[in-house]
Amino acid sequence: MTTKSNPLSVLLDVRSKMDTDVEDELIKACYQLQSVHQYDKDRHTMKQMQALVEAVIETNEGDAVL
Amino acid sequence: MKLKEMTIYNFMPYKGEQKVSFPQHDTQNVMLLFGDNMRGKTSFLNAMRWGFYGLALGRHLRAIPRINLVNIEAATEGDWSMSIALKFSDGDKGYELRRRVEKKNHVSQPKADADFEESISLRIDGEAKSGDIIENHINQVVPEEISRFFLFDGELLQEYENLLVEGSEQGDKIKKHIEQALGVPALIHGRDEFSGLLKDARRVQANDAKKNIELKRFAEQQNQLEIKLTSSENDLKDLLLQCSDVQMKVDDIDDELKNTEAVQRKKVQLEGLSSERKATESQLLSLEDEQRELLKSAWQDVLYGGVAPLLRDLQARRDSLHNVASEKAVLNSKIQTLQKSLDDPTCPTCKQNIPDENMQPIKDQIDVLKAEEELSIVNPEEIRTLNEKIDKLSKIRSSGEGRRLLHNADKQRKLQVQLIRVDTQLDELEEEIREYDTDHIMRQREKRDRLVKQLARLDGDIETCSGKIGKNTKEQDHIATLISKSAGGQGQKSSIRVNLYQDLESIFSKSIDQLRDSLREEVEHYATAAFSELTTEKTYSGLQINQNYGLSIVDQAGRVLKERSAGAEQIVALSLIDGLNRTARKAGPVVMDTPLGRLDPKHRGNVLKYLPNMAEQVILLVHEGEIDPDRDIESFAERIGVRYRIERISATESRIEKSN
Repeated sequence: MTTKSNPLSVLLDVRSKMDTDVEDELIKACYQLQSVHQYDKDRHTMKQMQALVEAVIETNEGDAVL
Repeated sequence: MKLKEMTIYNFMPYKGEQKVSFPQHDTQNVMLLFGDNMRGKTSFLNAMRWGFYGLALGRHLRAIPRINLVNIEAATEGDWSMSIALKFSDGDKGYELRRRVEKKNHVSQPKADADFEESISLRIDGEAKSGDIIENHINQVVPEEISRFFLFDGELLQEYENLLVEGSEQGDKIKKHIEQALGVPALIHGRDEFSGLLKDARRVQANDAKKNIELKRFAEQQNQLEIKLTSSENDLKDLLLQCSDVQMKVDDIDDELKNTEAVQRKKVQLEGLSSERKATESQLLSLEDEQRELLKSAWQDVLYGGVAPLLRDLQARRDSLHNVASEKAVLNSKIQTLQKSLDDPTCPTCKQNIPDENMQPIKDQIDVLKAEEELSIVNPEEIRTLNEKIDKLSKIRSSGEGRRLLHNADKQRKLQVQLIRVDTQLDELEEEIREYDTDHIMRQREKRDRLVKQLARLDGDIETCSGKIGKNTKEQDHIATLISKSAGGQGQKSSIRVNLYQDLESIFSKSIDQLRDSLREEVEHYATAAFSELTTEKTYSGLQINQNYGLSIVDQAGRVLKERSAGAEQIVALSLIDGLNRTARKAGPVVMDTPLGRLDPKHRGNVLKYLPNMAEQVILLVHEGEIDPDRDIESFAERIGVRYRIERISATESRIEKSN
């Protein structure tokens, strides 16, 4: 599989072309989670995805307060 | 992943315990399992599938019930247990997986899946794993979703042609499986989960907005859109369910019709013969009518033979008499003219008297003419009698009735022979399909046509509903953005959350399209490379991939080949499988059931040379018609790690034996 067809590389490439504050680290973490569980019969990743995003929001909020 | 060993117990035709070891050598990586039709090649493939996933597949990829999986001989002897044990490795880890079913204690004679108890155990490097996470462990190594690309039935290779048909149900299913093999689900799941989380975040944002007088209007709109969205989503869910229900009905009818294909063909043949019979009978009736008409005047044709010469004689005689009469009249006229000259010897031209010496020759000529005239005897009575006879005989005419009757009889005889042949065939066909309810089959065909139309309508409704959802979501995004940017919403945690989820959903969504394009490019590249090795037609320039991963052959001039043979179809499908295996993120062994069925010897040779390079382990389940053990193996003998043969014990029992 080449970089062009590597899902994570594609995600980061798309992100770089968008006007967004979403950090690469968050995308990596979300992809990692989905990648590990993509073939699970019963996936319970939504809560974990939410937790990853909430953690970023909390951190940003904390940084803003500081 | 590398397979090490499989132990089969009472699975389908394999009674008792039977063990197969897979090749471990890097270059001698091919295993051959020879078996005639109906001996258990597909059952071997199913044994492996069932061992991994607890699922054995029949036609239309339908699950085979457990009761049909337990060896019938063993069951008759009271042993209703069945198991598959698989040993394999992944990376540096060793796996031992064992799946077993047995009859529940209180059940005397199992009738349904629920009458069996299933148990599964997994050891990784000797350490037992608990039941609830076993399936996830297996899916990490050999995901079920991608199994069709490493456990595949060669007979189904033709299904890949559906990828070229836009909107084909089968094609959509295969496309989904291909994308699962290529890792697209990680992004699809990510997008879907962000979409769900965004929906919740919008709700929270709308609730926050309600508290702000300026934003209350937006909150209300957002709530209305939310209600509409939920309703549309429910509609879509219903439509998809209906669609799958109708598709299942179509599949069921297809199964039924497939089983009665021969009967249907015979029924069509029967209808054709019945029409032929009717046409023949009608032709016979016409010929009989014609025969009757001919017989009315046929007596004339019979008499005509005798009458015709007589009539000709009479006509000749009459003609001769007419000639004599004419000649007599001419003589009379001449005599009268000459007699006038004697009576009045003045030249009619110069009015001079004719000299006496010239009168004697005239008298002599009159005597000669009178002598002649006396000799010309004409009896008018005779002419009248002749005319009467001729008139009567002339009424006897021939229109070739005799010849035409013979021709008609010949035609009738041929048609009667044809009728006997048709009747015999009809009897035979009726006998062959006597036990089948052919009217029911025809009704099922009509029902299928109706269901297919219903499917098309449902597809249209699904498209409309999806469009509505898309439009609704856009409006929601717009209002969420308005709230986020407004003075009251800016900086609000709920707005930050909505913005973040919107961006994440958008990133995952756009990435899916971009990833698909890249994957298609890569699959096309690898498949073309494989195709150039496999095809015997070296002028082809390669393969071209479409949106559904369907591959078309491109010729030297860059034109797409419109039609291709079943053999070419199989070569293209094998190239696609190879392209997918090389592009896919999870490589593994390849197990192929009857992969060479439609190939000519040259293509078969190319495929056999190529297969060992397709995967780390290549397990071929073949019959001797596909690979001749004496002739075909030579070209890749050095790649064969192990050979087995399925021996027939009885119609319901087979044994796997190692062979040289």
